[in-house]
Amino acid sequence: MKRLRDWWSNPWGRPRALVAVTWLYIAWSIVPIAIAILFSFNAGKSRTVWQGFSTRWYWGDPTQSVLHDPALRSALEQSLKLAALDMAVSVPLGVALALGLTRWHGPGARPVNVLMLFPLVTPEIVMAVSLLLVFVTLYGIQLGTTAQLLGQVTFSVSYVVVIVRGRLLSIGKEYEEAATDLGASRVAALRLVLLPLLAPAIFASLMVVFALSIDDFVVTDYLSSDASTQTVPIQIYSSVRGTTTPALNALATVIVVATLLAVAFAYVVHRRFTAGDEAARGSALREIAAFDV
Amino acid sequence: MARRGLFWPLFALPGAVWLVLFFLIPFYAVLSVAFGTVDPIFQGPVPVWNPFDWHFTTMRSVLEQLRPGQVFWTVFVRTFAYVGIALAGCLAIGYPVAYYLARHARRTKALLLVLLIIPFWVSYLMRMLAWIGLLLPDGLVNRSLVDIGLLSHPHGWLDGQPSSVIFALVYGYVPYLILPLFATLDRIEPHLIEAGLDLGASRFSTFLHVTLPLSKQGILAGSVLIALPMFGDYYTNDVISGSPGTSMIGNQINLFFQGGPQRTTGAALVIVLAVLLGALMSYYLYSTVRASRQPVTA
Amino acid sequence: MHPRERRSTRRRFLLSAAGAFAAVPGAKASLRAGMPLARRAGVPLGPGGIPLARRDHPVTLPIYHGNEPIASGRSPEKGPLEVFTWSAYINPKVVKEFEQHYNVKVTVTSFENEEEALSKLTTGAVRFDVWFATVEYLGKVVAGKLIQPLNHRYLPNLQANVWPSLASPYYDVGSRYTVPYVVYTTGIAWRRDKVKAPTTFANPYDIFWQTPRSSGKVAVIDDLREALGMALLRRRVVDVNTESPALVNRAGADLSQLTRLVNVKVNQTDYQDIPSGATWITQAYSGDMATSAAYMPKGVPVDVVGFWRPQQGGMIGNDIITVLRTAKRPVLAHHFLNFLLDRKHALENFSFLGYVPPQKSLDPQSLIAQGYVPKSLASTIVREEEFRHDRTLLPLTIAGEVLWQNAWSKFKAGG
Repeated sequence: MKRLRDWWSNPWGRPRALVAVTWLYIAWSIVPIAIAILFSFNAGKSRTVWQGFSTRWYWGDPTQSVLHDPALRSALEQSLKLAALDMAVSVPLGVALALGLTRWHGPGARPVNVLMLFPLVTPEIVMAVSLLLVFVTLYGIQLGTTAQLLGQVTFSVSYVVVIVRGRLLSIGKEYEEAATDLGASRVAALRLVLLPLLAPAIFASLMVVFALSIDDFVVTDYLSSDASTQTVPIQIYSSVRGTTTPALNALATVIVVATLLAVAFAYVVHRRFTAGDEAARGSALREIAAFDV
Repeated sequence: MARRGLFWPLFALPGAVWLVLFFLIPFYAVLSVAFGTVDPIFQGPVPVWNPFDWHFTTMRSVLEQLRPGQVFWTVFVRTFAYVGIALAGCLAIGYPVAYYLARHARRTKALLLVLLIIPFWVSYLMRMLAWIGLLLPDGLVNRSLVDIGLLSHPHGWLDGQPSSVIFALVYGYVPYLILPLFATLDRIEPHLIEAGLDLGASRFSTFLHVTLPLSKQGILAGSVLIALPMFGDYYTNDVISGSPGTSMIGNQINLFFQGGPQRTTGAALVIVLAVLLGALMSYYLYSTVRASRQPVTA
Repeated sequence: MHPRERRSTRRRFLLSAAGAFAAVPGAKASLRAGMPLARRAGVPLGPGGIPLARRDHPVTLPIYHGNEPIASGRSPEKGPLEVFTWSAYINPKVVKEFEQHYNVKVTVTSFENEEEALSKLTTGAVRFDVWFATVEYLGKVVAGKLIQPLNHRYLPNLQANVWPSLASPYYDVGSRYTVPYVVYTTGIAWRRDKVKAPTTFANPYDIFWQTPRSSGKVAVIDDLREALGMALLRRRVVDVNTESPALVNRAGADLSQLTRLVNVKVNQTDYQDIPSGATWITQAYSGDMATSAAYMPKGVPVDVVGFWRPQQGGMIGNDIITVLRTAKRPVLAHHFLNFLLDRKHALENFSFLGYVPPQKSLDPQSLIAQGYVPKSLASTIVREEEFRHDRTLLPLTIAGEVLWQNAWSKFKAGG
């Protein structure tokens, strides 16, 4: 106790306890994932006892591997398909909304601004239930890929707005105004000046939306129809408690690797885009990181 | 002039329409179902769109079961307890980590940030999958504990233990707390803290009187950010416990939506949950809107 | 993945009362059309106004004007035949044989549970020819005119091969709308190497409540009718379709007691958990246990798995196959039903599913002798005579459905 007090009151000492907590936390958060990934390469059927290295659960096993088990493979395909569609719809939608909300100060702007933030904080089950009910009772939208896409875009678009708006605010209006002063039309100023400046944020949005879509369970599950619209998280949820093979770990690993690669790629591109832009570069990591929920 | 006035609103239009169609109206649909009726043959919900024709029987019976001792009361109390404990756990772990990263890490800062971000990007259910593998009767945790003699025989971590559910919630949600906390702590100007130290305050007292008050906003916002999804969580419970003894409010909502003639009851529960969380949500939105009006400084 | 892995997920809703999301067009009209049937004294009405089928109250399902059987003597349409069934609930080999025999294509679309299927079918935007349904929903789907009456001229195998009691069952006298697919019983599976057998208890169902040191190792099926039904049987309540609030609520309270005593798990993974040892005592479906051998870890013999059900008065049931009213290839669909009732194809399906098809010519002895089922699990094979004195979960009135669901919700709330 005495030593602890001494340490606290000594402003120049190294905060050893904090160092220990931080590294313990990092080990605690990453090691289980690493072990799960390791077991996806298990030669045997066990998820708990190591029986040698093999890629059978990825493609070697003729019936149970990710490549050959129709359920796992279709889950992977559905996850990737939804992620691609989600990116294609919510990024343009979100960028436009961010532009509109930042530059437009009319009376409608504020309510839309608040409405846009709601999907960020609404518990997923509330969103899932409301979408399910409105699709089947009012809109007559069939459950399945379309419904899943509509649901995912609804919560993705707000993230895009937040990311792009952050960038818009830091850019300011000057570049655009300079362009219009020089005779460019507003559309041209937007296309030639603003959009290139927004490129890093758009890129970051694409990656965030990709990760959000891949990770989503509740909304995607509620709006799924048959077995063909199950995604990887649904597959994990429905079979994790049973006696599943390491193929499930392999399936999850594929998604983890895909997401981390996408994020790493986004980070590198972001750095490249913002080279020389000190302010933006310093916040690059945070910008990519801070908007997931 | 008119064109000029419409230029930017037109950009906002598709997104705004989208949010009205797929966020606002759907929520109204929940109300219409909760206060609506069911069809006579299949008992599917028949929403009543006109609020003047709403039926309140379902909601009344849900509220009755929310009284102390009744079924939904039990579930709500349990949910609040789990979320509260998990939140405290998240803060106890997350704050020191974020604090260290923001204040003390120098050479290792970039590396640490990357390591902290990794779990953040690993799918939630994948992280649950990882722990389930470890907690199985013959998993690494049990084998290690038995080997070193802490346990005489494998413990049933996944056999419906509240502690396991709370542990999983902490594990699942703490990454989402650390980054906002870090962002807040990182923004505190170092010279404020140096000033405190220069004026002779101890590290602890500086922390208590300078850092903690300045990070209050981040703590509250981060807590709300992870508490809200925890309140609606049912999957963590399902995969970690599977026993009714740890059932949370999300599990009950899910139960009513998955089968049976009472989807209206499920919808009513969703409304009760949304109203209870409304305060939390409004607080978070208020602080976000306020923060977003200030230009972002890197 | 083992082909039947999905069987369990689909069971979740198999028996639960459920409905479509959308109001059914014409629902009110069919309700009226069903009215005259309801006049019979003492028979409660199910949803849609069709009397609740009971073994002592057989129901002849009404044939409505505008929804009559197809004419005889037509030749099968060109494909593709569109089949709507539970995931992994039909042997792909059988499908392939049908395709070759009729030179058509068959597309099999799967659903995870009956409710999902109903909601898709009632919104009317999906069109299938053949639908695998359940007895518990039959009244609703007939009243809602979702399925069409069958023309038996196309179904010679029904009379020729199927158990007489299911060739004209009490829930559909004259098999007007349905043919049976597979039969099953619900019993208790336990690990002989871990706990004492149910038969060592004065009341075998007490194995759930009275096995010492079994906390976390006990499970019931995540299906409200099955689990509450088991609690009723334990209390020697004969009517597992009772709508007595006292009985149903007591069953719920008994299950809640299991939560306090042994932290009971509620799941659908009986077929994996017993072989793996994650669970020692569980409520289980016969067909799930019949295939235990496929799930046993290396070195553990399959005979550590026990499956018990009472000599008389246990839980029994069967699934049904129907032709949808909106089928575009109704003749081909009839041929498909008949094809599945063929002995050879039924046996192929059995080897894939583990659930017994109600075929006259399949006898338990030969199924064991041919290695389809391990000898120690002979009790998983269902025989026709068992239907006579066993209990079946059947449709409830709407009020009854609400009563059962509320008892279940209370149990699931851990209160």
